[in-house]
Amino acid sequence: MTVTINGTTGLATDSTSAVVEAVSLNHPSSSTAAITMDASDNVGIGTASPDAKLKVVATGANLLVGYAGTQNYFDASENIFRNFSGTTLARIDSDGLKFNSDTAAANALDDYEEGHWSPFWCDSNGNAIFDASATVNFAHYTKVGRYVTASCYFNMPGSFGTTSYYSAGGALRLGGLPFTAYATGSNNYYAGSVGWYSSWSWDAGGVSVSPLIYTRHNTTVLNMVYPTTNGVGTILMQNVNVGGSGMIITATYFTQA
Amino acid sequence: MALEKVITEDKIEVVGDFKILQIRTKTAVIEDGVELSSSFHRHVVAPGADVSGESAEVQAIAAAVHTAEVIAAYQAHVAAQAI
Repeated sequence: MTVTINGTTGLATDSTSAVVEAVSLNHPSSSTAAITMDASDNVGIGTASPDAKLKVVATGANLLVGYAGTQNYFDASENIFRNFSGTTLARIDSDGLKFNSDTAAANALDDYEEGHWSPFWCDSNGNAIFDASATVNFAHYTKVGRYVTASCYFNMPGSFGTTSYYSAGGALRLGGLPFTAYATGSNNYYAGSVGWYSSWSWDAGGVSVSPLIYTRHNTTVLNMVYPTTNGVGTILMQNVNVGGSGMIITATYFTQA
Repeated sequence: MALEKVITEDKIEVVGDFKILQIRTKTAVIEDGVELSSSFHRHVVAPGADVSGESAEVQAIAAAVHTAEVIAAYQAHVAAQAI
């Protein structure tokens, strides 16, 4: 291997200490610097003026990483990760992360988020119907792309009052969802499951069956119903106006973005 | 070494036909200016919902986008949601 240090253009030194402060290396048959290290400790490959700790400028297989015969590379011209035979493994563009050769915007993974939410009994508009917060033992959500999974386990305290939004015969909803349920068009509904409920008053409905939950697009609450012999009945606010009323649920739905 | 907990509404989104507000609250633990950890809490505000407990910023956005027409349209949508 031949390395040529090309005097003042290829090897620069500090005028007083003679410390090498910038180095450029090029192949003897080329006048273009192949590798450059400047005074800011930036290293450039294919560029004489790197503006980052490592900057690679080239066409084609820009950045090749190999290990034990397997080699992949990043093609910066299209933000594509390819294997060495040129097969696209993944692409990152303005839509998000796309796998393999897929280019459809709808299939791009553009978001991931985890967090918490605060469930509470409410009316159809999401207004709290009780004047005390629930004890939330667990309320977690995960959003992958547009897909949201929200779970919770909560209980009301032993005693509480009602707000102006409470109506004993009003339809009960569960509010506090972390995202708006969304879909275009009509008749788009999403369902969930109820794992446990406790301290409900079923006197009004005369039933003792597990609640069902669902939500409709462009709303922010879960509807609460119960199965009947030929359909469902609406669970009322009075059914949970009991100290300690609570439940465990998981709901999954799409949101807008 | 100074530890502090900083709570911010770091994302407020207006989404969908009825301009529902999605608010993300970030709680960060910061030591000497360096964020050590953070977590998110989210909630939504529908048109016509009571926003008295929301921040001034959320209240202002709600006042701007949740017009009487939007609230009426949303309530009609909600009323029609029973299958």
